[in-house]
Formats: sequence, structure tokens, C-alpha cells
Amino acid sequence: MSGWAVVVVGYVVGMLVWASLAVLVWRSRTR
Amino acid sequence: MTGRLSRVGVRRGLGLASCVSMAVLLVMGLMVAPPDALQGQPQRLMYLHVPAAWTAYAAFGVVAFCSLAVLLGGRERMWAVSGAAAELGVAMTALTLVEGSVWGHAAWGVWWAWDPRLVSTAALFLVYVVYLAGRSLAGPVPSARRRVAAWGACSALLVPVVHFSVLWWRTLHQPPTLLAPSLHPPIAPVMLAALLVGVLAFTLTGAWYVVGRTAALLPDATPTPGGLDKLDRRATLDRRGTLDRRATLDGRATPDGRATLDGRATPGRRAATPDRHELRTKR
Repeated sequence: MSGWAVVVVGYVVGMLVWASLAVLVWRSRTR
Repeated sequence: MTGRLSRVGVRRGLGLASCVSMAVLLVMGLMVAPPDALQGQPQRLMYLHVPAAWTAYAAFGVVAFCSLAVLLGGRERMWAVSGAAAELGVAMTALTLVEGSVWGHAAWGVWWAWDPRLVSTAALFLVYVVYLAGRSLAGPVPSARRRVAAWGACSALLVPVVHFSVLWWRTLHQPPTLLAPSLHPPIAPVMLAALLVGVLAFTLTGAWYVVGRTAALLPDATPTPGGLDKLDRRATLDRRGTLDRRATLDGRATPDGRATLDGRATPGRRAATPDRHELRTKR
């Protein structure tokens, strides 16, 4: 993989994990 | 009411701060910080890899603290916080391993090496996966919770082993940058700024997650329509169904199985259908 391809893969994975955590928090809203 | 409003306010504030700081991190890490003179562009993964590892350390510290509190007779909230923090720590350790693997392939030419830092981090991940499995098995039984809490408290001893592994043993991995023994981190100021933004963004995200999930893990959590948690409710029904089917096999079930599967436990049914752990204890 070229340099930027590595960066894109890494940042996409990172943002997916962040989004997963955000969705879990959103779905865990309680009254 | 005020406390409830303030909890919601804290959660929303942390969520907003997490979103903003993560956007700033993307700009800093991908555009502002220059590529490394030796490694080139892949070094930019450091701005995710190191903050993820830091957040995992912090989360496991919270697990240890709350587990000790549970062992000392702490309240339900401590048990819930330790669960949320362990989930966060496992997710962050997994992210650390994946980012490190991608970065390692670019820098070292291999996805994985049997290196002290890598192996100890993988061990840390597995230890806390076991902890989460133990929590799931323990259910509400106090004695089982205490055993799981003891595991959670002791598991934190692995964190310093992971951190100092690069100093204690010969390793491919570079030594610490931010928590280096010297007071002058061996890093350019603009890279240090991006790294600190990453640490801040991940810390805020972790705090947001723990605050949000803790509220849901508490037993008196009431679902919001469309929010929590069709999956959780289904899991509860399934678990009750499983328990009752087991009880049926044990010959101790009530005939009213449908009411059980509907999740409408009555005091009489509950008395006639002992918890799985109680059954095991009685044998």
C-alpha cells in the first residue's frame, strides 16, 4: 500500500469505531 | 429532576465536544501536521493509535477503581460504570491493535510480530474480553459479581506491563513519546499539538461513552421510545425464556410458560422459577 492509502485505511477504521461508539450512546438514551 | 437534567446536559456537552474535537483532529492529523521525515505519510496513524491506547489505559483504570468499589460493597452505579468503561477499553484496545498493525505493515513490512508490546497488548485485549464475558454470566448474583470485580481489579496490573514493555524488553516498537522519561518529548511541536488534540478528542469520546452507557446499564433505566433498546429488551426476554426452559428441564417450571416469555414475571412465578445460579447453588 502507498503512504496515503495506509492513512486512509487507518482513518476510516478509526472513524468507524468512533461512529459505532456514538451510535451505542445514542441508542442507550434513557428517560 | 435537576440531577437528571444535568446528567443529560453533561452527556450532550460531551457528545458535542467529542464531535468538534474529532473534526479538529482530522484537520490536524491529515492536513496541518507534516509527514514524518523518515516514515512519510503512514506516521499520521500515530494521531489515532496513541490516543486510542491512552483511552484504553484510562478506561481500564476506571474498571479497576470501580471494581475495587464493588468489592468494598459499592453501589449498583459502580458496577454499571465498570461495565461501560470495560466496553470502551476493549474497543479502544482493538482499535490500537488494528491501527498498529496497519502502521506496522507500512513501517516494518509485517502485519504482526511476536513482539513484547504487541503480545502484551493482545493479552490485555483478551483479558478484558473475558471480563466482559464474566459480567454477562454473573447477572445480578452478588457473589458472582464480586468474583468478576476481583478479575477486573487484578487485570489492571497488565496495563503497566504493556506500557513499560518497550523499556523492559528488546522490541521493534518505538519507546514512549509523550510519557517518555525525559521532560522534552522527542517530537516536533506541530506533531505534538496534533497528538494532544487526538488525546483530548479520544478522552472526550470515552467520557461521553461511559456517561451514556452507564445510564443504560443501571437496572432502573427506562427506555426512550426509539432509543434504548429494542435489542436489550429482546435479550432480556430471551434470557428469561432460556432460564425458564432450563427450569422446565429441571422439572421446576410453572405451567404458565407464556406469561414468562411475555416478560411479565409475577412474584409467584419468580418464586417457582429460581434463578439459574440459585439452582446451581442448591445442587
